[in-house]
Amino acid sequence: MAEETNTALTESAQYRWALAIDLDRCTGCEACVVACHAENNIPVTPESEAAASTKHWLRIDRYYEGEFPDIKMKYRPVMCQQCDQAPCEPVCPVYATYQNGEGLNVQVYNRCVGTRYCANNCPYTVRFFNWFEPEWPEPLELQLNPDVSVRPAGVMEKCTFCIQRIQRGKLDASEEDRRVEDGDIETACSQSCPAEAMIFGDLSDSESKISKLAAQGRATQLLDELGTQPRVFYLERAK
Amino acid sequence: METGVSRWLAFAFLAMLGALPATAQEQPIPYPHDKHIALGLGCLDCHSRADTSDRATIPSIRKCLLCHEKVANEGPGVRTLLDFAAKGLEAPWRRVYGFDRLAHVRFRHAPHVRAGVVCQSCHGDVATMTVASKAVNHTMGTCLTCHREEHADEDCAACHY
Amino acid sequence: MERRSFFKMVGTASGAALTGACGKPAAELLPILVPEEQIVPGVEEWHPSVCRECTAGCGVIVRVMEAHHKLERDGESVLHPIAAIKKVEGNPLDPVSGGRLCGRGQASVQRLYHPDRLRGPKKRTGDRGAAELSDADWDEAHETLASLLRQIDPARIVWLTRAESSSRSATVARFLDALGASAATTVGVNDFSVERAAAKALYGWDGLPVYEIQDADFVLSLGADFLGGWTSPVLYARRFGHFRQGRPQTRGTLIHAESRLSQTGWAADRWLPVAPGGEQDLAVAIGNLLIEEHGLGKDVGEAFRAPYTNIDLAATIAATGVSALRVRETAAQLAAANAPLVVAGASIVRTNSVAAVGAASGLNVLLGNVGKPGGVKAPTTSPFPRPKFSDPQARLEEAEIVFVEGVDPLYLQPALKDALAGVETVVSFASMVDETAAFADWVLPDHDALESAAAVVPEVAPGAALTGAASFVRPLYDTRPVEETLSEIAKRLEKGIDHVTAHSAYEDTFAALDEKDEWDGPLEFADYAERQGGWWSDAASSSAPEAGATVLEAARFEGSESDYPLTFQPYFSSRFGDGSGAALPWLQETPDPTSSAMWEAPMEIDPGTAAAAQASNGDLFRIETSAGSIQAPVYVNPAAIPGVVSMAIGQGHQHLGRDASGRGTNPLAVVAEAAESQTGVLAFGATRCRLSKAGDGTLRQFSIVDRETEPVRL
Repeated sequence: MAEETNTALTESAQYRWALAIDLDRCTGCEACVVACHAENNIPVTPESEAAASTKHWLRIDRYYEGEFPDIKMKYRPVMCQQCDQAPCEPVCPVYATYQNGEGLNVQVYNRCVGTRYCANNCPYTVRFFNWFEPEWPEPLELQLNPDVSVRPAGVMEKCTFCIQRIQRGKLDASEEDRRVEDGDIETACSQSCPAEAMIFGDLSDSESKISKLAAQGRATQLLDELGTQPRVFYLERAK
Repeated sequence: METGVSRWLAFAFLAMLGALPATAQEQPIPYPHDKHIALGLGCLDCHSRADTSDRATIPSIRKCLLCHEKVANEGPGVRTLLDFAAKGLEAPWRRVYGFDRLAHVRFRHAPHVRAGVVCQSCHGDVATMTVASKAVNHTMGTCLTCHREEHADEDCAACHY
Repeated sequence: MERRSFFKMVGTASGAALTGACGKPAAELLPILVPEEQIVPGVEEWHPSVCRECTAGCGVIVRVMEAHHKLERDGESVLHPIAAIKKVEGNPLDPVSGGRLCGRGQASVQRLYHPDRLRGPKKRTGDRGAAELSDADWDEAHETLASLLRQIDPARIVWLTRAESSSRSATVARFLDALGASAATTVGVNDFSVERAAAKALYGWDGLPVYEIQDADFVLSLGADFLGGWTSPVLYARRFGHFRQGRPQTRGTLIHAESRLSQTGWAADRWLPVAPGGEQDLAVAIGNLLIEEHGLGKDVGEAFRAPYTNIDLAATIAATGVSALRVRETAAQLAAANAPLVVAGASIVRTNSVAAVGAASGLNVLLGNVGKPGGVKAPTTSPFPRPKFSDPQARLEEAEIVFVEGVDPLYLQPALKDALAGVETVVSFASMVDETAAFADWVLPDHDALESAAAVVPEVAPGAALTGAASFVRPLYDTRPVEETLSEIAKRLEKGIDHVTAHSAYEDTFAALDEKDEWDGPLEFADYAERQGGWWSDAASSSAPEAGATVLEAARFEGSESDYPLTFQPYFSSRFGDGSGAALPWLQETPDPTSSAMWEAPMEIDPGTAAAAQASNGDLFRIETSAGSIQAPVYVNPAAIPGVVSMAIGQGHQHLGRDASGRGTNPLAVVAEAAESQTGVLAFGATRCRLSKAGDGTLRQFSIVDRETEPVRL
């Protein structure tokens, strides 16, 4: 009986989580940035340390192209790319970061000893270190999400593809003896995005929205020439 | 190796066998599980969320008052209980089972109960206890041993995230 | 356990003990109070509500879970298990938010749990503006205000608020009515009075036009930064996403014309850098080309066409600041499109903005898209009154008592300080001391929006909409909803007023419903609507507009060109909105969209002006106008129009909590007293300025490297 009820979980290796970001829809509004902070108990970095260590797990990279008056601003949301060949993983001396069977680059807070080698190796600069103990002036701690760990000083953190929502989604699905269906799980960023520019889903489901988007001609990946094999697909702005 | 470390390793080894002598936690009221269970109460009657949610939950003092406001309220234990209630306070139970905050463990009761794990496997034979005591030492080894045997998720991220 | 020693001890034993052996003593346990409700720890509930950070009225759903609130009770600390709000998301059933939410809505939970929220009623003890307040009593406040109102001439009662149509505005209207006082009014800054006036003049409509961007194939947005804030950020961003990639065969083209590269400009296929004040000229030039070269507008009256045709085209085009090539190209694209649409707005208000917005709106009449799919639609109607603009300076000068609710007039128009200080009694309902509350005699804090029960009519919506919140968490502090305070005062004046509530609003809606049979009666319907977060229905068809001709006028700027060679352009940002967002640390931390600056709002200057002034990023510069001077760090913006200095509004508070106060500078403090000529609202984009260096500095940007100079394959 144990085997039967656990099948949904043991088959979890078959999920392949990925995120698509449609740059033609994205307006650079940063709703996703704030939603991520709200969901993931990211402490507010005091202004004095802001430039060095604000933990925007998700940021909007901006570039100017051209010269005034024919100038354009190009922008792209960037978060942990959950690389299949992640440069951050082999350099951790305590195996605190690894890729799990579902393609997530997992950060295990309780293993991390804070060498910060992983952040050094990440070409996307998406890893953040807790230099200080997090603080929430009362009563802001009432807002903390109980499903997400509060990271102490000395530990690395980064975008997890809202792993708490993924685990909750898998649990809910297993209660109903089924697999997670497309649309069941949304990351905080994809849920908030007003332009519906971010789509999260399971690449192993060929009918899922993400599978269809990843196969489109517009789909590219960031710094793919480095061989990191990211799980984030960018749908380039159509011309 | 220093003495302290080898003692620690022996302790760890024993812990992995689950053979630790039970250590009782001091509670504000000497709540007798054995008496209540003998009267017919089941685990879920008070720890009512164990089968449906992450946390089994410790009942509010209101649950105790359902009976004890009217019955069996002469003894010192129940009088202490009623004192707390009169002050609008919950009984300040001390945690018996749990994990270090820095271990970032997200244990969920519901899937374990659904999978058929009985309360006693992890909490010992509570029916023989007065106050709950830590009959089983939960180490990562305890969890992993069972997960391996039952072919449950062994991914770090199943519990640590 | 120390991490380093753990590493030494464990070796390679798998599954080694991590827990229990750490020897940590049990944490200090505070007594826990018995909660009033049965809230189950660890289990979430979702409740519908309405976001009130701006007036768009997005329907939201709110995640509620148990949390322990630390309180003092009889001198000792205790923990109170409460239903706490963890997260706000869009309500998928709401046609405005569609389940989505902007950053300000996401941050609204920080307003609820802000450490500097007022915990009870206060009264002034120090000088006006010193914000020295002492604890007061609700009864005392009600009694004092009632006795004041008993004696005051009703004509001298003023209520300043935001342009929100809601059960709140309806209850306030009842209160003011019962007293014989005139209606509540708005301050005229960031309340879209310009767009409403233009819609009235041009289309004969009451309210904000609704732009059906999602079904258009070519959109020219002229002066309306609809993706960066404006009237309904979430709805328009959703519509934009669909416009781009939501239809299999059609990808919409967006051209954005504005005097700065705003968020709508970034998202557009092309940005037309309109000279400040050249918005009207651009609209007129395009209208001229549509009529004369593309043969449109044949069925529109001569009087309507005259403002577009009776012009010197070359001179008009020159005044736009946009090249003739681009102006002609845009007109041609509009004429050729199947479903062209012009989104007309005044994100930056000039002295001639009503004329400019009218001229741009008139293009829709020429294009024949009014009331059509992909065109501009008539506004939604509301059963509740929407406060209108009336010159606040004049109102305050005649007032003996002023109530301020949902707006911070002294932040938006610092020049009102003297007029406000001159009012006998100032009452604020702010939840945190803001610039206006610092001048108040009574601060009677309203519940936070997330603690309130209300129904809001979103002004820009696909149809008739009533989006509501029932209250689902207890108020954290001793605050009262404004409606209750008004009831208490009215009672003491022997003028009972009934609250308008979300529930009563739904009940009233029931009578006009087509599908009445689905419910037993108004109460059952109201319960249903309350549970889902509102009642929304399709729009009635738009009536054909009474196309009124635009009266053109040139834009004027304050300050001579010789003294003040640059143009100063404050703008409302998607981070701070009307400035209230500056209270919230998440919004302060979020990088400014244009400069990536955090915790500050720099002034943006073009590279040429920067080079001449020897300004680099972060240097402290002084902006001087005919109204005064302020200092701010510089951001050299490669996309800034030469000679135009833009600056996001939001910083420069002296109050509003620890994260906003004493930070940065308020650009509205140095705008000249120029008024938009048809409405009288503050034309905050009509000021000229000059720059001088005040010091060196660095800008706190969230950039891993300086990205401005990197070439990129995007």
